[in-house]
Amino acid sequence: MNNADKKPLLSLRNITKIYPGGVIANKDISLDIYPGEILALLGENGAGKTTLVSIAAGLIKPTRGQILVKGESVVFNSPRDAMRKGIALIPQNPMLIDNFTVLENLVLVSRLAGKRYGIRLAKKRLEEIEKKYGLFVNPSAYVWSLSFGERQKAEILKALLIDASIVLLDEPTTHLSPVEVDKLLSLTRQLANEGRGVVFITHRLSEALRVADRIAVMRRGRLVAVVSRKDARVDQLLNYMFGEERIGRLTEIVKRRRSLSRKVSKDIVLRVDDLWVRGPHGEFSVRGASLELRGAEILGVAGIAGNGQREFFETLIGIRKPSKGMISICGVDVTSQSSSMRGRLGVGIIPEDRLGWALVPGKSLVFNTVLGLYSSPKAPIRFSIVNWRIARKIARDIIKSLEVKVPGPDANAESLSGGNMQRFIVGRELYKAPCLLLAMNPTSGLDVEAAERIRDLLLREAVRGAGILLVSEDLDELVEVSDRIVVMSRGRIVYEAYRPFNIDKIAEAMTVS
Amino acid sequence: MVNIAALLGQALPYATVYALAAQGEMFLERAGLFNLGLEGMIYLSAGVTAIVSLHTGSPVYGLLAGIVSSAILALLYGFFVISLGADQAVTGLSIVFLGIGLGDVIGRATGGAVTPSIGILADDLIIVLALLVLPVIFYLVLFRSWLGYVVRSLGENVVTARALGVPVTLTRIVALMINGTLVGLAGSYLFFTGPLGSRWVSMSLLGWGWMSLGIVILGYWHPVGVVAASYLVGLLYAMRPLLETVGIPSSIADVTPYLVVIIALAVISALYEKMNVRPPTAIWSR
Repeated sequence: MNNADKKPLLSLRNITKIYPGGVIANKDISLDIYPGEILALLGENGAGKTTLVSIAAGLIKPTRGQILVKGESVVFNSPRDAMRKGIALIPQNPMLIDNFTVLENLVLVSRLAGKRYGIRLAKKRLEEIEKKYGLFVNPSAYVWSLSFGERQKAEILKALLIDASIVLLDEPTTHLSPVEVDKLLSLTRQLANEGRGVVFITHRLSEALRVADRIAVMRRGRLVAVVSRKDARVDQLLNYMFGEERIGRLTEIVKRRRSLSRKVSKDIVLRVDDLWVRGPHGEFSVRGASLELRGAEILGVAGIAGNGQREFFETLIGIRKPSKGMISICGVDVTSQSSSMRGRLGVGIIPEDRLGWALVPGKSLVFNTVLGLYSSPKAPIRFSIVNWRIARKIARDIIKSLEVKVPGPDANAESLSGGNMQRFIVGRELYKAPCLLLAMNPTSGLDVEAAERIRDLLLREAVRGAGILLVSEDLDELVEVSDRIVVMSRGRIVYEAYRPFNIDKIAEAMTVS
Repeated sequence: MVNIAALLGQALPYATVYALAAQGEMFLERAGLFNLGLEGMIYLSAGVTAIVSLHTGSPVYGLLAGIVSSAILALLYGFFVISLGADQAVTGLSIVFLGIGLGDVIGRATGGAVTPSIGILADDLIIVLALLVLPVIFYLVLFRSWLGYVVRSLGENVVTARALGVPVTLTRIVALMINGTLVGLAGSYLFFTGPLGSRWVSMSLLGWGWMSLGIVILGYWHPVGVVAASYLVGLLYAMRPLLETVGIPSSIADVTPYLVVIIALAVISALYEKMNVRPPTAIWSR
């Protein structure tokens, strides 16, 4: 393809975005998107990719810079304005109204985009789209009843219904099975072949190489390089993504980690027997899951988002009650016990939501230390009275030993970056010297280095003797750190594998129902 | 012998007051706001209607003035909640006290004189409007038109709606105006046809707004359900004298409608929960 004689559909000129608080998410980025091409926007988490497409889609206003659509300068005050110019964003987490049907969602959006679709006309257009692209979601189904993949299809239907000429896909493969990924990629190609401009955000190099005509690499808010697919070299792209010295550091971490050795103990720290759990809409989300976890063992729970892992995890940590089945931790039956009982038994919990679940936003790290430890025998609490002096010391120790970058223990939990926040949380949970550590997506949204450090901490904890249950959507992560992997699909545990893992088999198990 | 036809007829004016106020509130709650101030708006509207129709001699002017006064309170609510980001519950309660206080001062100024009342024709028109026309319009707008999707998206998930580009503030101001108008009409109508009949008696028109809030839940935020619930409560209200004739003390007869609504509320919400029918999920959201 020769872009020289084509006019760009969308041009971003010197886009800078500084968030309140001074974080520079985008710095002076200029980028053109041409008709008929797929541009991969490659970079690790936190590189500023999502901010950039959010600006292009009218969700965020740039601090400085200019947007041109087909050569005409535009200012977006609302996503509506962007949609009316033919720009559709397919966000990483679908933005749909849960209690609406798919059709209601689609009609709402196409109206906002300025299309005069009534219910009947929208239905007809959907049928045409199904014929042309083979894309179908039951229009009268409520969004809450849909799987993640279906929701994403509904998002793509939005873009097609408003006939967007520029389609921005933000990490579209995160929650998809390998089969769904293949379908998505060929659909993306079809969209480009029709003359649309497609931007495909990813943090996976392999994906970028597979899908793109051109690859734009971002690092720390800057656009580092734009290379065409045929000139792309893997080592060079990695350098662009991470910077040379960081790649060296990362290889060092992984090498050091591989040299750690440990022996799985005989003691069972977690036993789950025939667990049935209802989801938020009354249906069974977990259907008869059983597993055992021993000390010093890391058990990975794999699965595509929305197959019951969340409910399973929430039941294990004690905030959701099972309908049937048994959970015992370190030999104690905790099935109908609250999460404070788990605290007393020395269970460490690393939930998915760092702010809100693990930390109270707006409160200091000292406060959050006390709150996190309060049910633990190691809490700085005597006769129901908090000893703030000891609490502060504990917080300071955690900050020091885990190298949390923060002015001091009185800093607001909200002011920490994702990686520092997660290190503090892990540090606090490890302070309990847990016999069992329950973690869900502990590295989601972290940049590569921060993620590797968290994985390192988990592995060291297993060496110390804790049993670790790691629920993660990142299969690469599970393969890297787990001793054993179970796959959850439609609420059941359908597959179990030991090291060395056969990734294809695991991926296959994730998609069978 | 109980004259059932007469009883059903007697329920109509009461049901009309409830239906007007509750439908206005339902629409607003569908847009994600919860106006707790109905009680005050109804009371103020009744007081303003009393004084304006007394001094102009025209019940129509009274009616319009009542509506305007209620709409002004609704706008005030909107100014605090939407523009200043104030808490909805606190603001709503303030509106209650403000409306009752102002309404009483204004209403007292009539000195309890009998004001000209709206004629039977206007009375019937309002009944038909409240019980037959409005529910159809609300149903069509909310569930059969894209405008309804815009409104309901705010009641379901305002964060997503905003991200989709729904004009949040504008839609909510429009919903507030509809709320203020209908609640004001309910107050005026209550003054003309209520228990006292076109004569102001201090603190006699209380409780109608609170009950309307309950009726929205009883009708499960659905226009037809809300009107049905309004009629049911209106009927209970009309039945009070009847209860007294069968030997139930008047104090107990008076609370019967409230008691029945409380029990019905509990049963109905449990039932809907089972059926997986959800109220708008983001009523209190900003």
